[in-house]
Amino acid sequence: MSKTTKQIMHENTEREKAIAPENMEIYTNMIAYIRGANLTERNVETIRADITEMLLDAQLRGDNIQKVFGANYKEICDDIIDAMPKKTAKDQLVEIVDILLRSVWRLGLILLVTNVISDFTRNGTLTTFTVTSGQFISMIIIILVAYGIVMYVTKTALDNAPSKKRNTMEIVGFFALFVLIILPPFFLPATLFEVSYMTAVITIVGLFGASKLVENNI
Amino acid sequence: MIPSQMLKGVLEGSILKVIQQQETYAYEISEKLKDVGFGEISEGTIYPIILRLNKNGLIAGISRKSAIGPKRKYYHLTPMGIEALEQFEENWHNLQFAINQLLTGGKADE
Repeated sequence: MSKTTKQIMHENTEREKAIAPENMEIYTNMIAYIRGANLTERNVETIRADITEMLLDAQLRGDNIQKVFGANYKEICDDIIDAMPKKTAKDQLVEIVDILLRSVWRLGLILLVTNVISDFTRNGTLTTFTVTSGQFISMIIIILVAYGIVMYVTKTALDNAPSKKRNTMEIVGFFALFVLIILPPFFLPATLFEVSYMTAVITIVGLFGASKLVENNI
Repeated sequence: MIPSQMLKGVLEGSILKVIQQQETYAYEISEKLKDVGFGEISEGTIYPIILRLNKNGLIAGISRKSAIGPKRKYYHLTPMGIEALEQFEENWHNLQFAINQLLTGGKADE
């Protein structure tokens, strides 16, 4: 994200420390819910700054978050989201590219490390950086699942306390996703591509650099 | 207490009027509306309206350090906001006249 957005985010994080514990849970859930909306990071942080200021001011008066926002937090957050400009197509594209670049260089680094460990364990020396079909599919699933989890958590941040049934479904769901991630490398061990370690390192560093460039434009 | 559905149509214009009277912030707007008889309108209700007015260019906000604590965002009307307020006042006078006529059994051309 841009320097200005980073600065606002940092200031918000500092100011948040003054929020009273009894107000923190609802505040955190409201911000999480707003983060899941179709708003730019800059606008989310602007809203966060405004809400924090209102809340800190209210605390000085002896009021709590219920007094400031009433009881229907979801409705208020929906009104806030509706009142803000939405991400443009360009914003959305940049965000997708940002997520992909950040995910791929991180997963690439993990694969690099596992390859190195595997090579030294089996061969006693470095050979080539290899990616199997199963590993590639697992990477795609990990990226999609991570994004899905973030969306699920933010969209349900202001829901009522989950029922036992929902808790059970969540646990089963997470377990199913975990199995979905770890199984492909076992069933699809065929090599998809292999390159020298130098090429792999240069590619990962390049992806890292590209992700930083894109991040600074959000 | 005034029903929320009735308030919805006039709250934006009312907030513009409060801001026109003096540069102000969300809590102060809420207190001013309460003082004139709107009842309890939380900052949470006012804040999205302020965001919308800001997005549409009718008001502009500036953060200032407050005397007692955290920064506050103070809002003032823009030229477009002044125009919008004038339009709201005209619309309100027309509506008020029509409703009064209805309630007293009068006619518009009397």
